[in-house]
Order: sequence, then C-alpha cells, then structure tokens
Amino acid sequence: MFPRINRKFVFRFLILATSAYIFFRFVCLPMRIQGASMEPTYHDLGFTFGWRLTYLLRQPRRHDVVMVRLAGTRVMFLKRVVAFAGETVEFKSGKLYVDGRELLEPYVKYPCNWNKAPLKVRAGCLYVVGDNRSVPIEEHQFGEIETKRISGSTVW
Amino acid sequence: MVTNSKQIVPGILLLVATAALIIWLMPNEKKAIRKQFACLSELARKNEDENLFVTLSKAKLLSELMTDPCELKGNIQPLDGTYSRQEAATAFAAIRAQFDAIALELTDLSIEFPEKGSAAVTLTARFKATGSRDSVSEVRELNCTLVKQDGKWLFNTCQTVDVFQK
Repeated sequence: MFPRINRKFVFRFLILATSAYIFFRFVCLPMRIQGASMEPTYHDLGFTFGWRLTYLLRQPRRHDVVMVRLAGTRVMFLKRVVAFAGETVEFKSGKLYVDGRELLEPYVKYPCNWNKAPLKVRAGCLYVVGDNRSVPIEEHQFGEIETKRISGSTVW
Repeated sequence: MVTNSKQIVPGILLLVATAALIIWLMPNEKKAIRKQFACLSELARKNEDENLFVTLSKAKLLSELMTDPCELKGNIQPLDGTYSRQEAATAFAAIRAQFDAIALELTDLSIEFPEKGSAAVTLTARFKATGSRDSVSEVRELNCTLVKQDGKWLFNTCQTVDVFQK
C-alpha cells in the first residue's frame, strides 16, 4: 500500500532523496566502464561503483585499482598502481620491472611484447597502467600521473 | 496584522525558492560560455546520413565559434597549430568527411575569468568517431581560452593536457 502523503512523508522523502544524491554524487559513484584497457579485470560496458573515501586515510598501495580523474569526476580512467615516487619503471619483452626487479602481476592475463626505457617516477607522482597489455603500447593510456589525480578506488 | 505561524515557514520557503529561481534564470557569463560548449558539441555531432551540404555548413558554423586566428595545440584530432577561420572550416570539413558518425561529449567544465573579456576553461572531452576505414574513441582533458568579441564568447586556444607521462 502506498503511504499517505502528509508532511512527515514529504519530509522523510526529501531527506532520503538529498542523502541519496549526496552519497551517489560525491561518495559512491556509479560508473559505466567504457573501453578494454582493464580487461579481463573489468570488462567493456561493465558496471562498478567508485569509492571516493578510500584514500582519505591511507595512501594508494601497489596493485590497487584507482580512478584517475581528468577535469572532473564525470569521466575517469581506471588504472592499476604499479610504482611510486622514486622507483624506476621499465617494460622488457612484456614484463614490468620496478627498480630492476620483475613485478609479479597475476591480473595480467594477455601476453604482450611491450618494451619501454626506464623512467624514474617523480615526487608527487605514481605510475599506473591498465591490465590489458595486448594492445600496442602506443594505443594504451598509461604512465606517470600526479597523485592528486587519484579520486578513489573501485568498490569491487 | 495577524499572521498564522503555520504560514510563515511555507512563506519563507516560497520566497527562497523564488529568489533561487530568479538567480538561476538570470543570464551570466558562465552560462554563456557553457552554451558555447554545448553549441560546439552539437555542431561537431555527425549522423551517418549527413550530406555534403550539411557537412560544409556545420564546418563553417564551427569555425565561426573560433577567433580568427585560433590556436589548437596538442594534436586535437589531428589539428595542431594556428588556423585562420577559413583554414579551420576546411580542417573541420576534412575531419567530418573522414568519418560516418561523430560524437563529441564535453563534461566537467570548470570556468575561471583571469581577466575581463577572457575565460579559462578546463574540461573533459570524449571524442568518438566511426568510419568505414577508421574508428576513434578518445578521452582528453582540455584547457581552452575563450575571449569575448562583439558580445560573443569565441574559442581562442585549445590545448590537450597530458595526464599520463609515458
């Protein structure tokens, strides 16, 4: 049965609607995935939620999947953190090396042959890359980003 | 005058709502700039059934949103350099002819006014184009400057921001 529309109902409804708007607009963002750069972890046209509070109390960890914002939070990149400031990153025959040691990446399922010269990550930056390395290196958006561009992580 | 206290709260709410509506409807510079971006997005859109006449007229209308000359930096599909209005129209027509369908989505506009008659806008642009030979789907952060000329906000420079440093 539909509740009676009285002052109490309207008040509760307004509170609920406002809370839901704030929660889903600023805290837990519904996200539609477009693109295959995080395959097979996240599929093209998949869905997830972005949790913006993850890094309020802690720093990103290696292997975290993070949301990288552009001008705002309506459109963001999903990438995986692989290296931190001061570390040197390089790709050799498709394998990722951090400070000369191969990084084990169980989430990378597709083989690749990427090669990239070593790069030392600058202060205030992180190095991120997608899980799908089967695309040519030129077509994949990855690299060093400013830490302030990280807007949270995914819920799952 | 006797006022029922039950009428005061709805009265105040109505007053606040009216004031908010008036402010919201009032024309301002930020709205005018947002309108230019909406116009850019609309004119850039191409449907599969677009004929040559529409392609050329839309390219000309797009170039009229730009200053003469305007500067496009950072390889914006595949524009890079300084263009006169005529050159911009030709370049836009060439890009339109290259694809069957085009969509340009502009979001997260952040507008600032560094000086009078000039606006700096940061935004996210999603360019999606499909064609028989080529398909492109790109997301970029852009920094644009617009200047006010004859009462119109026109695009003066557009530059892509490199979010990732490879």
